[in-house]
Formats: sequence, structure tokens, C-alpha cells
Amino acid sequence: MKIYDIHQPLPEELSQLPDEKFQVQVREHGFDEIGKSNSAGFYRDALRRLKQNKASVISFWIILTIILLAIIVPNVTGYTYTQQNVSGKNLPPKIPGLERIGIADGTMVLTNRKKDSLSNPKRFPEGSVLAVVKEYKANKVDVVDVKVDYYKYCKIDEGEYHWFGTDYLGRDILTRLFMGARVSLLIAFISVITNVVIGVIYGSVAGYYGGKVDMFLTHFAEVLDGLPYIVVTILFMLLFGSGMFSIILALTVTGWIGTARLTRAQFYRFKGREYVLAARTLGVPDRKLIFRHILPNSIGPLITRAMIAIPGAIFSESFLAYIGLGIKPPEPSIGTLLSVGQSVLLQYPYQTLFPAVLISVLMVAFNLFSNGLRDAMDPTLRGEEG
Amino acid sequence: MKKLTSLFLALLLVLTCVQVMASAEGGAKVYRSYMGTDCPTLNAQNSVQTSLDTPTSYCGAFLYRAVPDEDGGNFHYVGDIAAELPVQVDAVTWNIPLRKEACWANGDPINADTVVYSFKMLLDPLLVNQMADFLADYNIKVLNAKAYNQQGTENTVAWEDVGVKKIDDYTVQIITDGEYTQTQVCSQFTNRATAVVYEPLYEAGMNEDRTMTTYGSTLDQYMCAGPYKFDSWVFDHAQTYVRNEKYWMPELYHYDTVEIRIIPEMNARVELWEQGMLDDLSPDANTIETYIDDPRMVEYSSLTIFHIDVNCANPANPLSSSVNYRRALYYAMNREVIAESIFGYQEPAGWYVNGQAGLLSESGLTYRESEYGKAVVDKVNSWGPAGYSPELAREYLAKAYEECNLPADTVVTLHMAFDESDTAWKATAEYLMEEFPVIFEGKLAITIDTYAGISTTEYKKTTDSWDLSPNDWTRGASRTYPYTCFYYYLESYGSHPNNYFDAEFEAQYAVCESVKDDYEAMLKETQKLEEIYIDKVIHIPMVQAVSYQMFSDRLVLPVTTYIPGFGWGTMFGDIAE
Amino acid sequence: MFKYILGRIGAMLLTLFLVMTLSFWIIRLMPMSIFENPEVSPEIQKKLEDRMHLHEPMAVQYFYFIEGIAVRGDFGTSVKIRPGLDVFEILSTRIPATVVLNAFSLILSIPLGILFGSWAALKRNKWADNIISFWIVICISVPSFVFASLLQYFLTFVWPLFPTLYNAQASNFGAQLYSMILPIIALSLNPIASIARYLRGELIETLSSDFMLLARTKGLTQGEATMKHAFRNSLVPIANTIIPMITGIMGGSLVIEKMFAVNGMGGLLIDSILAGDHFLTVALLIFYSAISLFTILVVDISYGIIDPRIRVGGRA
Repeated sequence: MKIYDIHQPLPEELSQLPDEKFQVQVREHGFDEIGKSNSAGFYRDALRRLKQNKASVISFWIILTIILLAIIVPNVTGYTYTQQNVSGKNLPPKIPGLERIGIADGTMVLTNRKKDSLSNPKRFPEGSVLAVVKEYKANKVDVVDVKVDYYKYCKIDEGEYHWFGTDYLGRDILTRLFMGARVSLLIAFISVITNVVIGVIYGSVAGYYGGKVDMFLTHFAEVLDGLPYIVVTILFMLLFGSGMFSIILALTVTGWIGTARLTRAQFYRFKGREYVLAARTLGVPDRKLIFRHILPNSIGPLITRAMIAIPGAIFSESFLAYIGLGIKPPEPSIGTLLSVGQSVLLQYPYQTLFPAVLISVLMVAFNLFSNGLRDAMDPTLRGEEG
Repeated sequence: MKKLTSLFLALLLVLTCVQVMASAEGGAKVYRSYMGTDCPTLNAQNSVQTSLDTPTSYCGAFLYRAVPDEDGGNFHYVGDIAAELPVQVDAVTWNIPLRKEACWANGDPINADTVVYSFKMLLDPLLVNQMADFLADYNIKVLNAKAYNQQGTENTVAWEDVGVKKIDDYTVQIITDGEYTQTQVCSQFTNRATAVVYEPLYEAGMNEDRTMTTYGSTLDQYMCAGPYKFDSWVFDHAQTYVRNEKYWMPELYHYDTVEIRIIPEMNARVELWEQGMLDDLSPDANTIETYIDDPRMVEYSSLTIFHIDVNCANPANPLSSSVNYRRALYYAMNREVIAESIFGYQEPAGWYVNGQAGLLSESGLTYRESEYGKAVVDKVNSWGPAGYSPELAREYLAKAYEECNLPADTVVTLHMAFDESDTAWKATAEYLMEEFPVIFEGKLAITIDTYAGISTTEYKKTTDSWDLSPNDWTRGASRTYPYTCFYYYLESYGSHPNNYFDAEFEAQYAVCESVKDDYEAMLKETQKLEEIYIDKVIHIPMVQAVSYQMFSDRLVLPVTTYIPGFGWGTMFGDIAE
Repeated sequence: MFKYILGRIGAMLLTLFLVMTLSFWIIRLMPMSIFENPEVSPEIQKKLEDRMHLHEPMAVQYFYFIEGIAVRGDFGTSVKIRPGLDVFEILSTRIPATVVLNAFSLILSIPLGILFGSWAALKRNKWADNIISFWIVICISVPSFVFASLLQYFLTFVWPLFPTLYNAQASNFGAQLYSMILPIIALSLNPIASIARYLRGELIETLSSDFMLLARTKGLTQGEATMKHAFRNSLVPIANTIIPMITGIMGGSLVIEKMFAVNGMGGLLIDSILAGDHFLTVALLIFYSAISLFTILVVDISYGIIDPRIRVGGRA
């Protein structure tokens, strides 16, 4: 940076600047007019900043798309999520159109097949064998690895397609995946909302009253927090059995503590302010002070926190399912699909691939979006209280 | 950044070289196998975990050992600590002479005192070892052993009254409660519960009131005496055994080192197998598809019949006490699909006596291969493949509705409860959930209750509201006496699994027991017992478990075929390079 | 300050006691099954349960439990996972593997995290920052078990570059380290990303603050100012991300340890819960709670030093 003395004439190179180097600066928003509500301005402002963040906008659309897919896809695939066909289990993906260029064409390499069984039409129906990949001997027997049209191999009707393949009971994975996304999202949203409600009430009481009450409530939260979170969750699952309700409950046991802490800290920040003291002097009751005068200040950080908690809840659900404490079968969730996929990772990698991609995309989108939201709502970027 | 990358690559290169050098050591014959979970303790007397079989058979010493025949067609017993096979003194008394050269890995001698001390501790009424029954009452019953073990602190039975005696330093006498053959006596003393324990450490680990010992909980508190000794035991990671130079029959064993890795994940096992780093692999339901055609694969029927217990006293289910309801369920199971596709290449079974039952009898004829067993199978198959018949199922359900005065349009929802981690049963339940409404035209529906962290028996203690519960209890004694696989369904068994008691069934079981010394007659009575069982549908048999196993090319097995009650004899195998 | 710390330690001990009580009641009220094998006769089962006081009222059992801890320092003995071993002996066999792995992971993560974080902050909104930030989001978002199974699938199965399993008994340290590379990478991704993300945020804030301008005005170059002022200032809050990582070194990762067959702490608690080894479970819960309370204490005290305004229990 260079500093120029205002009392001296401008140097040559600056005074000669062509006009097109200059740009008209337009103030994007005016100063808040006195008397207008500050909080409306704050959210409009936040929204504007959020819109400027490209990653957040894209994430937002991705999340919306996944939600829409979760609502639509299970109804349009032509299969229900419980519909089985045991003779067509573990079918590889087959997508109309793509199959012609060799991706997702319903073929699979079967390893360690006895060579003479290839000519047995009962084992390998006509037209199912596409190519012999490898020939070798094991225990003095001729063995081959053979590429087959797995749909024909399982005697599936021509024209039946499973875009993402099928699982161990021959259920359509595409249908189950988006059904699972529906379940996972539902669990995440409900548990986060519950957590926020509990956390806000708890944190408000602790923060507002302070002293002994605060001491007691904070320590109680600390005791709960002292127990390893995943253990508390698992114990809950064990006590109440598997199912959506108990997962939500389990995610709520310790999930609210963070929100409560945040609310408490916010209260400590605002309750000493003059306007609160003034309201109190005027005889405003505690309840009204809490909910009308102090809490609204915390809404920004709370929304951000809730958004950040959603991917956390999705992760926890899938983690629980992954270690075998999922929702009740035959209901799918992304976690249960991943857990099933993991057990056949070496044999049918696509059963892990699709749920893994979906959960990763969902998590990245939620994280980017909530990052954007946090930046947009961060009061330090705007000056305290606007 | 480039520096960092190149540094990292260089490090990697060095590590790879080190790795290659490390793996280049050769010459020694190493058998590499795996276990799913580690042994909780090495004290073979007090843990029912089957994982203990491995270290105990390699590193423990027994009175007798089962070894493969020269031609690999069968197995026979040889004395391990015993010098020769048991000598019959009278109908119930057996003298077992001991080897003079038998000793612990540290050189301390093993003699009659060691054996008697081990058995006394195994049966100790205060220690209440979980494996006590395997000496007291298994293939043979030892005189007063059970009473001694069960007396608690009451002192009603003295140790002197129990049929285990020291005659001299190198002779132990066993007095039984009934007449048994030499083979039965031998087989009792090959059981891992009867492996000898090292007195100084056993006593050192004892607590003040002598109710517990820490013997075997760590390697320091354990003493080897078998053909191998522990080289290292890293818990939940690996067990390594090396030859025990002090062992007295080294010519029977060929490996120099045995490495057992603890590998909980099936995927990891398959990877190691594919890389040639394991010498055996048992594929599970998910991996069997890959290997089903593999020429290295061997199979045999196991002791297990997977079945479903039916709760006959569920207050929430109006049908639960009806026998016709259970019959309807019996006919509604498409066992072929469940066994083949869901359990993965297992065999459907509409009957309950397992494929190994009777194998260890004198004649070696299994019940299932006898005319009596076959008659039951034929009868079951006449209803439909392995007893599957939707028409009969509907017919019996209608009868059940009538019997229980239920209006025909009632929908009864059955609760199928099972352990969360049980994937095969989970798939079966999901399958039945779809099938039942079709078979029963919407009258029977299934809903799933899962539990975790408790055993099925415990779960049933906490609730009555289950209807179907998978089970796979096995009775080892059924290898000799086929009828004993029904043991857990007798009124006298404490942890009864299904709230169902039937006088006719109990009476027939008693008849079987009374003729157990006449094999032919017993088979005949067992047929009647099995027919009663199927008629009353005491539970629903589903799948005869088939065990699959693969062995690497470098492993030379001592047997030509699977020998029931002995297995593949991998312990006596050799490594061909 | 000393009084504050003392107060916090007192509160921590009280909390620990409450955790002890709470976990005892929660866990011991669950149905307990010590025996699964039906061949253990019901008579033997009952005898053993009597010996463990399982048939006495819970209050009495609670008394035995507290008495054991207070009088004999006996936190409990396993009945299923390692029958007869007390919890400290079990821990002593499990902790080493986990600590070695986590220590290596920390040695890797802290410098890399700081490197990436400051690099991204200094090159704010340039391509380096964009790449690093994207990578950070991926590492934080994608569940560790997805990462671990991808690593294992591709690097040991499809292209077998690394050993499939952790090998604690390798003939030399090099081979052992070689087998640890994959689990270490899997364990490090998240910490690297968290440190980098946090540091980036902190540094960006500090770099744009007034005192940096002052530093520049007094004649320091950008580099000097960053090293002398910004960096130092940002490292203090970073300590609060790193402290829990250091105290959590004994925690162990459930999925990663299981996947690479590491005999560490990871699965112990879950195994013990699922096996119904309630005695061990309670003891382990106390152990983990003690660690996490200790972490909170350290963080709290350091906060208390940095910013006395947010001490617990104070009235602002």
C-alpha cells in the first residue's frame, strides 16, 4: 500500500488514469432508518450475505434436491422398498441407456467357477456367459473367472432394471436408498428440533437465573456430558429396543447440552445490558424477559447451531446402524444400508458405493451450508446488535 | 511441499524394503489361522467360549487325545498324559495308568496328584466352574461328581466319595455311575474342560474365600503342557504357539509355529485369504457365493438345526395356545428358499434331529441315515418340500381360528424377536414379513422386535410378548444319543425356551432314555419322539446348518474327509512348500 | 485463581461421583446375562449369580459397589470379556496399541493441521485456500467409517500396497510401523481438518484486526507481523482444540480399530455392553468419564486464565 499526501498534486500516473478504470460504487443497502425494526434488517442482511456465498447456495440446492428425491424416488421406481425377489438377490446395477456403453450393464465377474459347470444350462442359462476372464487350476481342477450377464444368470425377465442393483433379498437399492434418506433426514430433523427446544429452555433458565441454579444445572449437564456420548446412546437403544423413536430419543439424551451451553453464554452476554435492566425495573416478568427480550438475540447463533447439528445427527444415526443398532427392519436408513453394504464390500462394492456417496454428499452440503449460514449470521461481521 | 512429499515417499520405500526383508525369513513350518474373538481366559475349566478349544488343544495336556488314523479315514484315541487306554477293573471302575515322562513346559512332573487336583478343582463346589458338567455328566457320569459340585457350602458330599481316585503316583482310578465303553471313557477325557491345571499358579490366583481363581487370565498365570507352548499372547490380536521341547509325543505334530490372528471382520479374513496369508477360511453367508464352486471348499453337516421357538403363552396373542396355529406356522415356512438363499447354501430341515446325531454311537450310523430317521423325512416331504405347504398352512390356521373362536376377519400380528446382530435371522424375518400376509391371505402379519446386549434367554425373562424367537441350541451328547437334542424342551430344563410342556412328549423322552443302551431300539423310539415333536410342533425346525471350510494348497491335512467328532485334524497337518 | 482451580477440582470430583452412581444404576438395572451356553446347567448359573450378589436388592448391590471402590480401590472385575481380571489389568493390555496409534496420528495431525490452516489463511481466497478448504470440508463431513473402508478396499484389496491388518508383533519396528500407516491415516484425517479449519478461521480474524495494521505501521513486514503477532495470538485458542485430542489419546476409535484388527480401547466398551459384562461396563464408564472430565477441567482452567468472565457460577 502506498500513502499519498493530499496536499501535494497527484503523481503523473494517477492523474492520467483513463475513465474506464473507474467504477461507480453503489451502496447496496442504505443505513437503517431510525425507528425501523432492527431484527428484520438483520435477517435480510444475513440472507443477502448468504446468497453471495456460492458454496452455500449450491449446497442449499443440493440439499433441496436430495430432499425432493427422497420424497419422489421411492414412489416412481416401480418397486416398493420391501418388495422382494429372493432369486434375484445381489443383482449389480443396470441402467437403461448407460448399459450400452458398458457402465451399469448388469454384468459381474464370478470367480472360482468350475470350468465344466459353464456348459450346464441349469447353472449358467443360455446367453448368460459373456467372457472367460481367467483360467487356472486349483486342486488339479480347471477353474475359471467368468464374466456373466448377472440378470440372465439369475433368470430375471428381460427389461427389468435396478439402477443401483438389489440387496440380499432382491430389493431395489435405489428405492431403499432414497427411502433411507427420507428416514435419516426425518430422524435428523426431529432430533435436532427436540434438542434445540430442550437446550434453549434449559440454557435460558441456567443463564438467566445464574448463581446456584446455574451451578446445579451446569453440573447436571456436565455429568451427562461426562458419560461418553455414544455409550449413553447405545444404552438407550438397548433399553428401548431399536426403532426410529428410540434413535431420536437416544440422540436427544445428550444432544441438547451444546445448545444449552450456547444459550447460557448468550444470556450471560445480554442479561446485564441496560435495556434488560430497564425492563426489569419496569416490572416485566421473568418469562417475558427471557423470551421477549433476551432470547431473540440468540436466534442467529441457534439457527446456525441447529444447522450444524443436522449432519451430526445423520452421522450418529448411520454410525449406530453401522455398529448394528439401527432402526427396525425392514425399514431402511442410510446407515443400515451402509452397514449391510460394508459386510459385502469385497463381493458387491456397489452396495457400499451408493449409500456412501449419498451420505458424503449430504454431509458436505449440510456442512458447507451451515458454514455459510454461520458466516452470514455472525454478528461480528456486522457490528454488535447491528 | 515437494520436499515433504519426497521425504514421505522415501520413507515409504524404506518401509517397503524392510517389509520385504522381514517376510523373507523362511524354512520354519508356520500354520496361520484365525479366530473371530479372543479367549476371555486360558482357564479351560471356567469358560464356555468355544474359542478356548484352540489354545487348550495346542498347549494343554489331557488324559487322552483323538488322533487321525494312519490312512486318514478315521481317528482313534491315544494316551496323552495316560500311558495306555483305560483298563476296566469292574463294570464301573476304570484304571488309567499315566506316563512317567509327562511334564509341564517348565519341567515339573505331571502325575496322579496333578490329575486328581485338576479334577477336584473343576468340580469344586465353591469355585462353581462353568465347565464342571463336562467332567461330571457328559459322555459318562462320574460317581457323585454332580452332587459334589452342586452342594455349595453344605458339605453333604465329601471329595472321597467322588469317583476320582489316586491309586499310586502313576495311576488314576475313575468310578462311573453306570456302565460305559472304553471309547466313551476316552472321549470324556479329551474334552478341554479336563485339561490339567498347574497347581502352584492355580492356588496363587485363588482369592481368600476360595471362590475364584485368576488362573489363565494372563500368560503369566498359565502353564503349558501340550505339544506346543505359548510364544506370545497379545490379547485381541494374536496367539502364537511354538513347539514345546518337553512334550513327549513330538512325532505326531509337524508345524514349528502356529499363528492365530484375531480377526473380527469377515472382509479382512477374505482379503488375507486371497493374499495367501491364511491357511484356512470358513466363508459366511455373504462370502459363500464367491467360493461355492471352489475346489478347495469342503463341507459337512453340523450339529446345529436352526429353528424358531414359538411362545405358547403370549397373553397378547389369542392364538398362542393353539396347536393348529403352530402347525400352520410349520407349514408356512419355505425352508428351501430360506436355507439356500438367505442362510447361504444350507440345507432345509423340516425335522429336528441333526445330521451328526448318532455319529459317535458304537455303529456310527446316524439317526438321519437310519430307516427311522428317513421315514420322518419322507413323511415331512410328502406334505411339500421340507414341509412347506401353503394350502395346509391356511387350512390349519382356519382350524386355529375356529378353535380360538376368532372371527375370520381378525388379523393377528406376530412379534418375531431376535438379536440385532443376527443378520441371517434378520433377513429371514424380513422375508417372512413379506411372505406371511400372502400365504395366510392377510390374516397373519409379522412385526420385528430386536434386542441387543442380552441373551435370548434373558430377553424372554423380561417379556412375554414375543411370538417367534430364533434359536440354535445344540446338545453335544446327541452325537451319541440322538434323542438328547430334545433335552432343552423338557419340563426339567431350567431355562425353558417356549412355555410349552407336553406330557406325551416327556413320557416318550423317558422311554428313549430307558432304552439308550440298545441303539436300534433307541432309534426306533427317537422316531416316535420326533413324530410327536412334529405333530405338536414344539418348535419350528428350519435349516440344517452346513459348515463350509477352505484350506490353502500348502496345507496337507492328515485326513481324507471330514470326520465328525474330530474334524479335519488341522492340528496334525503339515506344510508343503 | 488458585481458589477457582480448587473449586473446579472439587466440582469435578463431585461430578465423577455422580457419574459413578448414575452409570451404576443405569447399567445394572438392565437385564444381565452372564451365561449364554445352554449346556451350563441352570443350577451352576444360579450359584454364580448368587456369588455376585445378583439376587440381592439393587441398593445393597450399590453399597457393595461403593464399598469396593472406597475401601479396596476395586472398580470392578470383568465377568465375561476377561473373567477374573480387574478393570485396570484389562486397560493395561488395551491402552498401549491405542496410545501408539493415536500418538502417531497426533504427531502427524498437529503440524499438518497447522501447516494447512495457516497456508489457507495466508492465501485467503486464492486457489490454495479453496483446495484446502474443500478438503477440510470433505474430511470433516465424510464419516470416518466410509473413509476407512475406502482406504482398506482400495489400498489393501484392489491395489495391495499396505498390509490388511495392524501387526503388533512384527519382527521389527519398521514392519510394525508399515502396518500402522493405514489406520494412522484414517485416524488423522479428521484431526488435521479440524485443526486446519480452526486455525484458518482464527488467523483470518487476527490478520484483519487492528493490531496487525499497527504492527505493519510500525515497520514490520507482512511475514514478520504474521509470525510475531498473528500466529501467536491464534495458537492460544487452537490449544483448546488440541488439548482434548491429547487427553483423548486413550479413547480409541471403534470402527477403525475393528476394521484393522487393532487390539485397542476402541471396541472394548461396546463389546462389554453388548456382551452384558455389566461390571466391566460400569468401570469403563467411570474411566472414560474421568478422562473427559479431566479434559473439561484443563480446558476450563485455561479458559479461566484467558477470559475470567466466563467462569462457571459467576454472575456477570
